[in-house]
Amino acid sequence: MKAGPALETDKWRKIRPETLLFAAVFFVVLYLAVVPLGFLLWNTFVIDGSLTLSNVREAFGGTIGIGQLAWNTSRYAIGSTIVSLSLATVLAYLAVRTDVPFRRLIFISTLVPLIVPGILHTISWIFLASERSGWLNNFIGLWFDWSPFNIRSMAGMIWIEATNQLPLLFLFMYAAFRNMDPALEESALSHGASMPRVLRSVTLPVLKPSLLSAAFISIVLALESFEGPALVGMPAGILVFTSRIFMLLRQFPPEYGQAGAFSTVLVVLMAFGVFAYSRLGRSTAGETITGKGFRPRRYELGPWRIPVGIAVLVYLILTTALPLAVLILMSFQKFYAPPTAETLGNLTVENYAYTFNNPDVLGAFFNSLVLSTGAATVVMLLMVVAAWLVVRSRIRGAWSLDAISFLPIAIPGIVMGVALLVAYLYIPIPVYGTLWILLIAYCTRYMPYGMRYGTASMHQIGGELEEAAKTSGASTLQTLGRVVLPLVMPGFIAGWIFIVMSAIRELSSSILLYAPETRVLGVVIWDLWETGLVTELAAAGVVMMFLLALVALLAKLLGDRFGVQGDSGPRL
Amino acid sequence: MALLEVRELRKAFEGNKRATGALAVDSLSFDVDEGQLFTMLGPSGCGKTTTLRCIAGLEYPDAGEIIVSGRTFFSGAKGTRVPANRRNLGMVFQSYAIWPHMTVFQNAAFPLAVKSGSRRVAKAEIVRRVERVLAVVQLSDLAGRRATDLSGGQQQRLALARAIVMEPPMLLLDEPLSNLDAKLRQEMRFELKRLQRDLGITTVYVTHDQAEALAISDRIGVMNAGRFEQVGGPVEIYRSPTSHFVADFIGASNLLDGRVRNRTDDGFVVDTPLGLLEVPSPLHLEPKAAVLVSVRPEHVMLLPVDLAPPEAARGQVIGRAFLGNSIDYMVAVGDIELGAQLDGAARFGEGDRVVVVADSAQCSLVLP
Repeated sequence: MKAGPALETDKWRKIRPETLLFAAVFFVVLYLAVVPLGFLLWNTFVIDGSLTLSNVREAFGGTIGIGQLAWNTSRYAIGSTIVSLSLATVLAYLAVRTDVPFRRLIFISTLVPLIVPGILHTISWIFLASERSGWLNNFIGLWFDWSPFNIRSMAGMIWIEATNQLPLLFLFMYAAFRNMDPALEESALSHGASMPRVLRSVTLPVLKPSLLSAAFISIVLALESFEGPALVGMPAGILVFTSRIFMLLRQFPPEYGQAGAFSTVLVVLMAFGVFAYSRLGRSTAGETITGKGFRPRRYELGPWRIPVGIAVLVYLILTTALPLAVLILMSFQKFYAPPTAETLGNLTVENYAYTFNNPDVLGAFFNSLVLSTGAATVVMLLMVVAAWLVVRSRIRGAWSLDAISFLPIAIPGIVMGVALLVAYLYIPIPVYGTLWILLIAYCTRYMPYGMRYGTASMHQIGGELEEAAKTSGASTLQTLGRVVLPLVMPGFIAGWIFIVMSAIRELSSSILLYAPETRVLGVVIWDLWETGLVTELAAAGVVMMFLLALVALLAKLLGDRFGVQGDSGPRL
Repeated sequence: MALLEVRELRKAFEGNKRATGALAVDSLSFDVDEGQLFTMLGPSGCGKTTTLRCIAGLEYPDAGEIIVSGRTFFSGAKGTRVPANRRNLGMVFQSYAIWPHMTVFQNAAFPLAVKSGSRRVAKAEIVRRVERVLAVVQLSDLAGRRATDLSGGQQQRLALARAIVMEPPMLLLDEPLSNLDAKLRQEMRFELKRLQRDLGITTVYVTHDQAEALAISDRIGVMNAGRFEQVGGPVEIYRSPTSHFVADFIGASNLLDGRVRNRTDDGFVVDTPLGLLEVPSPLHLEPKAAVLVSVRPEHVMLLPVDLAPPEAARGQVIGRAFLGNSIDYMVAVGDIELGAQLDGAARFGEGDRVVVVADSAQCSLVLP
């Protein structure tokens, strides 16, 4: 039987447009995710063409050696995990299972880390809990001759990190509690168990996988944290991996090899943490989600309601309101002073005048906006196509795109900075000291998040919607343009907004890659801190947070219009 | 010439079933004449949807040939593979696959809107054809609505409209009614058949619902494990199942172990637990051969013990289900259990002793 005359067969078209698309995307993703790390490893372990551990030996045995760093980092990570996870779990339990007051406020406070960059969070706590002139000690000093708080300590570092992580861990544990059928606890109660017994024998065991997952998230966050260790730890002589790496690059001459050695250790630790988290996330032992929905029943706190309510309020004020208050007040002061009747009478707007007139600060606003929107657009475009290839196309090996685009999640910002510095010493593309190297850094760092948003969107769009287009006669390009892209738009926008906000807050990569003309907001704040212009810093910071709040508002408006499903961010 | 010719279609399972070597579609061959509605009927996993998707071009078989109107869409031997978007076959998916971001009109117009180059359709022509097709499925007043506003039944009709707007030579329907509630399903059965008849469009239909298949098909292919067990018209399939599987799958059926006594003019006398039955059958059987007798519950009669002839089989009612206009009975006769369906006025209760008689003219013989 011959084929009909007007029918084109597929025989001559060996290369489908899909395959070309896959090749292009694969190359870009591979280049971004693997090349910097590859160069870093090579630079660390290879000297004059042969493998060597001399960099490792120098680094580990140096003045601040591996033992001290490991000890500090462990205390920092585990300490902050214990503090943040316990607080988050208690808070989440109260929010889901009880009639605790101020639930709405608790939720609003979870939005704060989206709007308060790490460096401002750290700086505000420095001013709150400074030994001599901090707000808290000052307040207590009005009545007692006692200064209990000293932020320049491991405890201070742990507190800063814990309060930074709390909102994310709260949301995580909140979801865990919501997915837990209250019937499990109720049946224990109805059999005569006391409340503490129920918590011990039923709640905690069922919650174990979620608690472990959350613990690993927390550890990973602490490992890669930079602002706290840099602004508080370094002056106090308490170094962790991230701050040590930074110091090695700030000294003259910069020690790329040693930085690479510590970076490798850090990446291995983080990779383990991410792996552990994702494995635990998949275990369904604790899952009690059935097809039938259930109403979480709220226990009445009764007489406990007032003291618990006060505790929650104190918590909220302490962790959310006070730090913001510090920054806002400072932005109106001529010089920093704790709030007293006297100092409050001496307010000024000259810091804001500085912010809006200083070319460096204005330039940083511009750079941050350009870089964040640019990176967000590049990443989301790339990742939407990549997600489509991974989820929908029948190309063998497309799954590898998912894995490779995920690699940067194990690379802390500071290590990404080092890796790119090293990589572009060798790669003959003139991006050093330009906005381009920053763009590359941002794109690489936020690729995993873009991929998560992309694949989530793709899974929501049923495969049959594309098949229907095919059987209706549409080409691959027409299907992508008329069916896939419009349907993926809400996810695209959600990812875009998330990346814009994260990129505006970014510091740990930017601090290594910037040049005087390519400063971004985080770097400018850092500079103001180093030169002691703290009130100007506060004003610039307030404006920066205002900008972030605007973007968040834009997200809400777009979300309502485009029907984005409620999502506070992708899971790792 | 048949409109659709499928020859020796073979497709292995994907994924982890691959290792077993079992085939999802096992050397399937069939023809569909123009204007016919051919149904592939079978349980989940029998390969019917896979076959349909191969015809549509959404999947490629491992071997075989698929020819529509003389054009080869797939040939394993010749290496011909026509992609789905060039086959011009209208397909209706089980989930309807209506695009939520488009209006009803845009959904229906899509196949015409994507025609490009020499096949471009003018805007005015698109409007004319879409309006006509929406009128056929009675969705004209909803043309401007967002597709997500439609109910399940309306979405199904929209999916149908979209499939026929491009005036394809053949329609492929993948369990189009299974997502509808029972009442709507019954109504839509007639609608679909009427539409298909009026348009005279050749249709391949996939379903697991044997009542649906019997109601609307011109021919049915009963599928099991990638093969056809029997192909024929609805009456033939129902009245004369040729295999154990078909007898069991189509309608409810009792299968009695029997042994052939002797031949008759148009069948055999078979010795069964219900006594000697004279059953019509085209099969060739020797005396003393083992054979199964298929008796539908509606052809099993229960009589009060005192009214029955002494040689009739006796049993006891062990189950009773009132269905409104009929009553399903479960009767134990010796070691076996039989289903019987009686009129709603039947008076037998659980535990009653009854006489069980089969209407042997309505039975059929099935090879064990």
